[in-house]
Amino acid sequence: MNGMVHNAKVDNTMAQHKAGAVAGDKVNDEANAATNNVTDVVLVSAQNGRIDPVKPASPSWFIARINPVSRFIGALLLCIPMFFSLDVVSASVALGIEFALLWIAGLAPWTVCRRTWPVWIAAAGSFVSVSLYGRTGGDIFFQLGVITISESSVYFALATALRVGAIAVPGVIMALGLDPTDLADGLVEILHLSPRFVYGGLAGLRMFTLLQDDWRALGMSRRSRGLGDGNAIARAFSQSFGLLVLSIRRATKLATAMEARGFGSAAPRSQARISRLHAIDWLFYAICLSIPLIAMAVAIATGNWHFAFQGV
Amino acid sequence: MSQTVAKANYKWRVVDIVVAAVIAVASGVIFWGWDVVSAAPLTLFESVTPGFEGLLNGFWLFAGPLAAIIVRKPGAALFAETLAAFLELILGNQWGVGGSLIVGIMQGAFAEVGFAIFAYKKWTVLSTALSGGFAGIGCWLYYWLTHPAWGPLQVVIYLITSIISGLVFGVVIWALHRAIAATGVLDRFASGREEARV
Repeated sequence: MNGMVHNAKVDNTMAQHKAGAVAGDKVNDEANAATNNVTDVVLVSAQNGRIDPVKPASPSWFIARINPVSRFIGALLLCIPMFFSLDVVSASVALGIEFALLWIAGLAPWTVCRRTWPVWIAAAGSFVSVSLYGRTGGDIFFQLGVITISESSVYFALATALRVGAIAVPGVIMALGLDPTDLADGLVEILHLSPRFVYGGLAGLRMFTLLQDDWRALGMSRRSRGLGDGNAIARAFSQSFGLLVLSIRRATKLATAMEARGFGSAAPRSQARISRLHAIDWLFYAICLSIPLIAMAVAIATGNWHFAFQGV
Repeated sequence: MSQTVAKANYKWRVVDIVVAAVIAVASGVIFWGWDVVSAAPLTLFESVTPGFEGLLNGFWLFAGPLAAIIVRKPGAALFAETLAAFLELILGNQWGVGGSLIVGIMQGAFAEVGFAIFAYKKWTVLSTALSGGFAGIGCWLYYWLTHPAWGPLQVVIYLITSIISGLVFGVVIWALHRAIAATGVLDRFASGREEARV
């Protein structure tokens, strides 16, 4: 939607930039076409028939309705209080509430697990590292060199792993389907970040979709010159370097095209797309903040709460 | 053309923003690729060594120093590292908003320090390496905050290995930037005009 509009704009900019060079040829072609009376009819679909399928902004109906900026504010409200508590009860309560809320928001627990499986690998890594090298205390189960598995290191390892999940799962889910253009609008209009940097960054992000085509084109042109049939790793490095140089060259050109259209001038900038916060965004913040608060309250009430930065 | 004495100019031009953004995007793809590739070695390092997994951090630390040494503006490292981390996040990884975006912002802010201590006037292999090393400190700080149960040995080793990784990548980035400059693509930047090729 919005993304399409923006992309089309940048495309035009680049196309026109190139078109300048070949304008002369075009005039000749048209003249030839007129004299030869060639009927090269290019069929195009009607303008209002060109409808791209709308890509949902999030797999969850609720998250899709909130402003993209709110996803980040919400994630921070949810994460930061969690950094202060490290115990099994608060982490597992938070994780439980998150799974329940995501279910209400349209993502069943198995879907959440499928979408966030790498989180659990990271959590397992944290569990192992803390249980082997974490703070020791209580009974010592095993000791070998620097490895000490003790009662408290295992407890904190479990708490850390659960907390990694409780912090990362909502963060990963909220990032799904995020439209960078909508986010850029929100960053400029709601958080009042510098539009030059935000839209400049967005223009760079747009290059991402071109990288794949460039990679293929580079590979083919290298092959046609007899390069790159040797060592695969050497080829990957050398071609990556080529891709980086190509991207910088294109970025320089794009910057010229953007400046030619007035981007980055001192004149005030108006917004074609409006990005606002609504009641649903404030509701979302309240939910996000309440998750760690409820989790910590339960931990305190049951006497299990542990301040994260305190010794054993 | 007569030789003019180049004066440090801290104002960002559009070309600085767009090129820094493109470097960030290319780096973000590498971050994301490294997320996938590093998952197994990271878990292995975490389990057989106390903190040596910090050595693997360099692949997430280089975007800031690379953009900074190329566009040479204050804030370039923060801008590029943040944008790269954002791309890494929306491509989808194991850490979500905290472990990709927040840590990216911290790494970027620390990477700035390497150049800021020279008042953004020294763009040398030393400042680039320092910038990488400081980015390593930023990364360590995030992991220490999120893993408060680490024992003191692991905290110290992780800090040292993370800094080493950042320093090494800083030197590599310096060489990479020289190689890019040699192609002539940086002719709109001070970094590409340092040694005019005749």
